[in-house]
Amino acid sequence: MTAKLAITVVIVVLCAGAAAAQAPAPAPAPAAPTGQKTLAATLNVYVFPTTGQTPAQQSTDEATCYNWAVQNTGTDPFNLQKQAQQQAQQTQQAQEQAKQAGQGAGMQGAVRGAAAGALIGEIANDDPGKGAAYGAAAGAIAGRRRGQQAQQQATQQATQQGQQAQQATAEQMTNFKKAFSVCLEANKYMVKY
Amino acid sequence: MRRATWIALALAVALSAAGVWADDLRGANQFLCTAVQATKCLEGGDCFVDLPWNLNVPQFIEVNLDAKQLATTKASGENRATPITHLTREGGLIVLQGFENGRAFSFVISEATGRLAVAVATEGKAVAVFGACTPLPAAAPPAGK
Repeated sequence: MTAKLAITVVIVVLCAGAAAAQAPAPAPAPAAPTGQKTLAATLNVYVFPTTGQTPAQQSTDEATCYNWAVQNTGTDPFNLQKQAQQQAQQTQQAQEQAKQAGQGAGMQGAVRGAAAGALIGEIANDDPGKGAAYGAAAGAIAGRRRGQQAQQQATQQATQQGQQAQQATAEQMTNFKKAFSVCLEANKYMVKY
Repeated sequence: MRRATWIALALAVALSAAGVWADDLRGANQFLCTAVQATKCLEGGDCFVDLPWNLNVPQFIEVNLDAKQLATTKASGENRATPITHLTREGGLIVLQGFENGRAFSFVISEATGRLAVAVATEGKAVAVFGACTPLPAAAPPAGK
């Protein structure tokens, strides 16, 4: 008797399922926000379940697509964020080092000037530092100028390297989002980023 | 402006203490020279009159004929010196010549008046400087003698 009842229930459920599959599907309601950020949301990718996938299912799909995108692009956004932070620190350090090197050059110039100040040999040397004292002072000025130029070049170089690194990171991130989106779209999600 | 005034005042006091603006250098082997005017000429023919220190000519130069050396004053803190390679004292003129950093120079100083004329020549340009010199006081003898 119990077995008959169970078989009847199964048949009814399957029939209902078949009927539902044949009928036009109503627009599914999006999963209610749970308050927790999804994987996609942390990457600023907006994902909408077009076939009424549950939040749990969406979370699973996002994780699967994340791994798929990592494998296909060779980029892991969470590692990228760490790399970007490290690059920013390195750029800052390089700029500080350049600044210190510039100051050091001024000191070295002063020492050189003090040791080897030429009296006649410095006349009309087209030095723009008009009226400046020479010997130690001239050495310091020339050293500072060389130091400032070196500092500017080094700072510029560090900034350029930082910008190039940021650009490369941004490109990698874009590629990852493309792959992530393609995977989610294949799983019936609408994706925008 | 204030610095320039002090420098001018100090110069005036120093030179008036010596007696006259330019001085009698006969018998002196150490003197202090100051540059008053400088002219820079380029090989194209253009010449520019400028203040000496704008052409890196020190404001005061100590000439030591015994040591055969031109040097900036200690008080200037500039610490610059140039050796004199040729020295002639003849016909009432003191002629100093030398070469440094690609610059050949000649100082001609009148022993009677202390008037100074300097020519510095290097590739593509020459600088002429006019000034005046006054004897430096002889070093004080050691105490107890």
